Amino acid sequence: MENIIEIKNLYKTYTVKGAEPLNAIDDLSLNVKEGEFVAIKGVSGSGKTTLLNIIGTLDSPTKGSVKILGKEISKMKPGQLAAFRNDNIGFVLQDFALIPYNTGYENIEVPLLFTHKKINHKEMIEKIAKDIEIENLLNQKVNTMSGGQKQRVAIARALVNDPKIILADEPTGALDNKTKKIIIDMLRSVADSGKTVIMVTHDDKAASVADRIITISDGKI
Amino acid sequence: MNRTLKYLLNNIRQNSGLIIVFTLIMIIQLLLTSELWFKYFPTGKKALSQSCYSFEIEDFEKEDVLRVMVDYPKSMVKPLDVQLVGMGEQNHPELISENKFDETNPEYLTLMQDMDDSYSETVRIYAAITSLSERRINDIGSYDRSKLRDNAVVLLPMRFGVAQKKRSEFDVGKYAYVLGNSLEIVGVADIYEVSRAEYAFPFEYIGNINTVLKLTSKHEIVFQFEKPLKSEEESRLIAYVVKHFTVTSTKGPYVLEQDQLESLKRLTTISTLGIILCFWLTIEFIWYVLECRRKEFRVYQICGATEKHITKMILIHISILCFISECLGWGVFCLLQKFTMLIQLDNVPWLFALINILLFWIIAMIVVSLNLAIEALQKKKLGISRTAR
Repeated sequence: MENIIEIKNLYKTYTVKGAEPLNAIDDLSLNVKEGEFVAIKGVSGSGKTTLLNIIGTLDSPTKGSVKILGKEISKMKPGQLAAFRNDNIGFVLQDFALIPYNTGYENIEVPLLFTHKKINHKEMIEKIAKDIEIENLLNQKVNTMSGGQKQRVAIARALVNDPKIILADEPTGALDNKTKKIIIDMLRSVADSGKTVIMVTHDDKAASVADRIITISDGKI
Repeated sequence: MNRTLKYLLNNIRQNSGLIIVFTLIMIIQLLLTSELWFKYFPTGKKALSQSCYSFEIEDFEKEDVLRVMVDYPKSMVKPLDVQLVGMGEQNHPELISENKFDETNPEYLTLMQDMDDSYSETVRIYAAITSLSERRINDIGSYDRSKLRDNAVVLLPMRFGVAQKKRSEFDVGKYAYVLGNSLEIVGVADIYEVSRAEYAFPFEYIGNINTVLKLTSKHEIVFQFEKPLKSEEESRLIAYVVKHFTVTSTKGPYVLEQDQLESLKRLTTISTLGIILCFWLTIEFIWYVLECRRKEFRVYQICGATEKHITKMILIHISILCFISECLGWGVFCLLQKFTMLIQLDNVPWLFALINILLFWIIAMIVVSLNLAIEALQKKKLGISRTAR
């Protein structure tokens, strides 16, 4: 399997006036193969989310090289990054990042609103909903759903554009044990279907499902 | 359903609370702005009822002069053609027209005056002042308005002393407006006797007063008293004047009193402060809306929206909110204007409307730009890209 993500000597430094510069990521190198399920563990403030934001093209590195699907993301312009994110990356976040007063259908549709691909929205959404068994949630408003239901809608949204990489930031952080298992199993089956999954988690049980566990401490692996 | 329409309907549904608050701010702002606008660009019917200065006629003696100084804003100094019209039962409307006016008729008083250099035309003032019976009061509304020339200033001496009740029913401002052929009606002089009901024809002593109506270059409406009035006649002369009129007289007490002036100044200050407060509320509110929706915009960002998309969405979102609130606000304002005396503006001048709409929208857009700029600056300082949390 080829490397889908190649990170070399990555630095991310935050500078706050009057304080010492803080290296959230400190000379980090990492390769992730296509279809691999990687769990990133670490204590709060260790740089996990920063790394995920950089891989997700939401943040830019201070120094170093980040290649995703063979493309150096630090050289891309903001518009290109957004299009790249839309095409290749799906996000599943701890707080679900859904629009609460919209329905499940409307939330799943969001990535399709910005895509250049010609996709029949209705067909695609119904297919994804069927695959992850959330057809009954399509017409329900998000603010009336349970945490587990919201996270399944978020996973559907992450998958709707058929991205190659799924980034999950503490996806089970706000869920009970039973629902945690459902969501982790769901991410596992996503990885089994050939997509690369990178999951940030505190939870050892959740991390144990991954093919590889990486621990970050002070911005270093 | 069309996606834009769907977005619009969703937006209205989701933001109904915000729209109501925005609309209320808009209405208050419009009311206050109309108040200020009227002060500087008065063209209103309702102004007539705003201020009423009364003068005891018995206090006037021969050759006393009461001047009602019409203090126009410069933009309004253009009443080139002035027509004073008195309505009375012997006063047939057709006589008021220039050709048929009978100068020999003692019932009428005609003043032909050469105006100062500031006037480009000779102003002819036709004053036809006669008695006015109850019957005629009811006829006024049917007066042939085509007899009035454009830019006519209608000064309407009336008397409603026959029945106090009748007088209260009669809206001087309203009728003066009805009579006017244009919007340049600036005031109504209402001369009447209040307590002596037996004076069925009060202009008998209006004749005594020899009401001289004169419009000078300084826009003075002058009432000159030819004979001393009988003191036992509790007559009053009331000049309904729009509030920026200054009333002066050769008799001291009739000058607009200091506290009245102060009150006018206070009103202006309150209006101005109110408008500033409305703008501030608008700014605060849009800021609040943007902060509330920041999470939503982040959702769009992680789903692949560009900065351009997000900015466009914010602008559309705020514009829709502004647009709906403005429509509702203007609707309520126009209803209030039509059915109540709350708003002084006679109609809604296009410039007033345009300024208000643009101001609201421009403020909204400035706030949005500032919000985005500050957010970007804060993130730049921290060294994180704009899209990151």
